[in-house]
Amino acid sequence: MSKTVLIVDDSATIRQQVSMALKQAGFAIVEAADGREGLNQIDSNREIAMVVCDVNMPNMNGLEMIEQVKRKPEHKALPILMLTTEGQPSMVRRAKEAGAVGWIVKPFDANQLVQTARHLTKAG
Amino acid sequence: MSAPRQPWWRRLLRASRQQAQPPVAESQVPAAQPRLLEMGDIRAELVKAELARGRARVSERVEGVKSLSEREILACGQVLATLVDEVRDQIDEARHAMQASSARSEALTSRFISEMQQDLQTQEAAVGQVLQLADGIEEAVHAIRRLTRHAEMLALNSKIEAGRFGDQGKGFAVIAENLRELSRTIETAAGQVDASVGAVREGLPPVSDCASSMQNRTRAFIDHLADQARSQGDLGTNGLDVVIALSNEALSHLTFQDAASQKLSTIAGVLEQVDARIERVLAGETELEDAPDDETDDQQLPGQMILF
Repeated sequence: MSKTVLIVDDSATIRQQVSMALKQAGFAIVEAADGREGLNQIDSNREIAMVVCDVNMPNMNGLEMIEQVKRKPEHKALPILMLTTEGQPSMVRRAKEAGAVGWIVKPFDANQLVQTARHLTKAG
Repeated sequence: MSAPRQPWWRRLLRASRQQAQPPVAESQVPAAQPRLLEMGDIRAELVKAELARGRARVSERVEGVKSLSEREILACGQVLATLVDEVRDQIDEARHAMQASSARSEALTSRFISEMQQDLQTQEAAVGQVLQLADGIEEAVHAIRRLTRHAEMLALNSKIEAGRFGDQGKGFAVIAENLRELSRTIETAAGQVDASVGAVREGLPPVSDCASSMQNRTRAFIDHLADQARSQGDLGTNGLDVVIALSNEALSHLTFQDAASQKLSTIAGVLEQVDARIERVLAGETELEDAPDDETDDQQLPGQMILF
């Protein structure tokens, strides 16, 4: 059975690109356009095995979303990978402290993303 | 040809000099203060106007690049996704067709081999019967030879006995001689039958060897067909791998464009912040909070990934 990945990004093009890379590797995809939608998806969809999340988004940014998600015990083990243009150490630190498992600075390498997704969803 | 446009700061200096004519002597500075202040206001207004114009131009260009990039990126992404799906579907279809064809060939060939085996078994049985008949004939020939030897002995003895009776035994001697001749003729015929049976035995090909050879050749042909089907399947899979690799490469170019477009937005945002700070300075604010440390030297580079 294929694993499901949630992509949270306000850019339709990024969602499309990440989706294409992961679908080719056999993952099922669900999408959200901001942190609030992402949070709702995580709460309602138990099939989600991993999240790929941008930082700068309207309504709720990625860091705030992680902090809210990780407050809930049932989502403690859910791997969340940040995919963003930002690279500032302070942001990276905040994401790590909030519970993110990794940080990728755009543009991403499709093969690297697929291997990381396989590794994180196998461990889960 | 019109003279090239002066940079804004030169235009500013020229305007301020024009406003300041005649030049103000040091002793006249207090009296000239209102005029100097007025000059300062004009400069400030000029600076603000230039900054606003520059920012507007940058924003306009950034928006233009962004919207063009987004449209292109979305379109390219859709084309790529469609292309990969279509190629994958075609390759799957070709693979299924080859597998079906291979399965049909295998079924037909198996039936052919089975029918051939039945035919060969029938032939083998027939040959077996022939050999049994040959054995029967050989036994009969041996029996005939034994009989002819007895007949010859009898003829010889008869001739000897006929000789003891002299002339009266002559007729009997002739009969004995005829019997002997007959025995030799039968012996010759038996020898010919024996030779013919031997030739038939030697002439019959070993049926089981033929069957085995045909079976091996047919199996080798089936294996060759299966190998060909596999090679074509591999070719299709390799073709799909190439398409996926190309689409991944194109994808990385698209993500680079997208990242560049987002960076342009960041630049536009920074310009807005600079503009806002200058406005506050020109409005007379003297205590501004320090600009956030941009941590430029420690930033993650594009394409980098770290796992915590």
